[in-house]
Amino acid sequence: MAQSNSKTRLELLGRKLGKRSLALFKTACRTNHNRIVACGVLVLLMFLPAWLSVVWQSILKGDSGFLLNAGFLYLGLDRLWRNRQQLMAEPATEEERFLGYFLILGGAACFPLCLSSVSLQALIAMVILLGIAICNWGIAVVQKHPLAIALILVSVYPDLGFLANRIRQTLTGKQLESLMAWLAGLSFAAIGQTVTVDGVFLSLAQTIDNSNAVEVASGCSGFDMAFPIAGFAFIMGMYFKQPWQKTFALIAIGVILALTFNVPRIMLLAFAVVHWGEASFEFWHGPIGGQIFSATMLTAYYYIAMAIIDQQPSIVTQKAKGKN
Amino acid sequence: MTTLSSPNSYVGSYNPKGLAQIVGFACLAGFVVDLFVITFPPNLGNLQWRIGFMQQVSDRSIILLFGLALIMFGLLDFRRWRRRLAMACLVLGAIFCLSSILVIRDGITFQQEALKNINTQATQVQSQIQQAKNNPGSVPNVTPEQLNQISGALSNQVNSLKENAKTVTLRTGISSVGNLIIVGLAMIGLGQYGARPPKN
Repeated sequence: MAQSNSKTRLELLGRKLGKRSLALFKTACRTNHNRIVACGVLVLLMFLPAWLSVVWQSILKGDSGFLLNAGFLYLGLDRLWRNRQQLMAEPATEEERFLGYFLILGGAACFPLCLSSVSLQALIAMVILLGIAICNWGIAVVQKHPLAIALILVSVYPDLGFLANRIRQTLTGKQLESLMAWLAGLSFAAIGQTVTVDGVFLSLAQTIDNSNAVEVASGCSGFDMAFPIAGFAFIMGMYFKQPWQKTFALIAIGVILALTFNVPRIMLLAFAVVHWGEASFEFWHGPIGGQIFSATMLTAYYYIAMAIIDQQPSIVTQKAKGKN
Repeated sequence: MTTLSSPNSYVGSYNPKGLAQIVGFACLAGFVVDLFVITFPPNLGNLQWRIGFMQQVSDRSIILLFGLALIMFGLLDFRRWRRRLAMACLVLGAIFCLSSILVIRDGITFQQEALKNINTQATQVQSQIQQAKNNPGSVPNVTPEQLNQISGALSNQVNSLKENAKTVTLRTGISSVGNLIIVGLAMIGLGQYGARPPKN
């Protein structure tokens, strides 16, 4: 009995969905504008599985990057949604519609050429989204809400940390790694240890050779920690509607903390290599050691960030307190 | 010592639009001639030709933008021609922005091919060194220590070559893409201006 009940419910749901999709399909085919926008949406749907698979893989690796995407997307959409009446009041001109259609159709035409790379597909998705926005609300939407549009476009890229790290490596080479090795060397010297630093290599002896040296590789530069913290600080600043100075302070302190906490980590790893052996190095370099360091750092950051946010209560909270 | 007492009335008596048209059309013609020279003979299937072509187009694109802006200024009073030019600017701007995606794609493919070539050559030389190590008699004047040194030096050189290849392709890619996007956006702006120029 229960089974047949659920069956009929499923059938009803299926029929409803069928009717809805048919109505949606009819709307999509009604005018040229709708057809072109539907074409863009179709390409975006084709990109969705690739996007989801990259995000899923990053979640499996314990990466928090997708939270950045979700945060940016929410902030961008929220800003546009709050201004929806103003957007609807100014429809696109003929030229702007033409430009939007050209971007959508051009992006759709380029999509089959870029199936090999998710990054390129993400770029095309950005162009198509921009095209859809321009053909509906005109270029004014980009001029009036540049931050909202930029946040939505950035959230389309599935692995922002990877992209930022690649850009950093291209622009600065191994300067951050060398800086980290140099700072760890200074700290070792301060506690009276013999230390030699050569570029990204750090050794607890007078000379550098394979047995006693630690290489500060790209993953140990602290950037992988600093980038998401900067991103979350930005999202937090925007979400709590903090002034720009405070948001910037949150970002700067996050980055400085991430890089500062990386120095004792490198020191500990160098100690582990030289004095405690392979197993200890693997422990501190592996996920558990990493968690211990990030937990310590995030605890410190939480108190500092909350102190900054609560520094001068905003007028709204003062009013709320007054009412209570 | 001479002073211009009323420069505005002096300038106002001439129409500078003809001048803008002359320079604008000259810039446009110069760009078209350059484009003709670098396009022919076309070889769209060849990756290196495409990269070179797009790089040269992006390098010269600023002339096109400058020329179109001057022509637009010259045609401000001719509504029909101005709107046509505005549409052309919008299309060109969108093409420039879209082509930057294809430039990135070609750049990535080129980088991968370069790295693959370096790897194949390095593997060949390493296998020759390994052979020499296994048959010490085949190269009588070289000791195993020297072979080890050569092998180490080779892997260092391969790493630096790879880094170099990555940096060079990325830098040229970023410069082309940056130019294309900036000029593309500027052309879209120019098109929007030409379609509905703001009045004083």
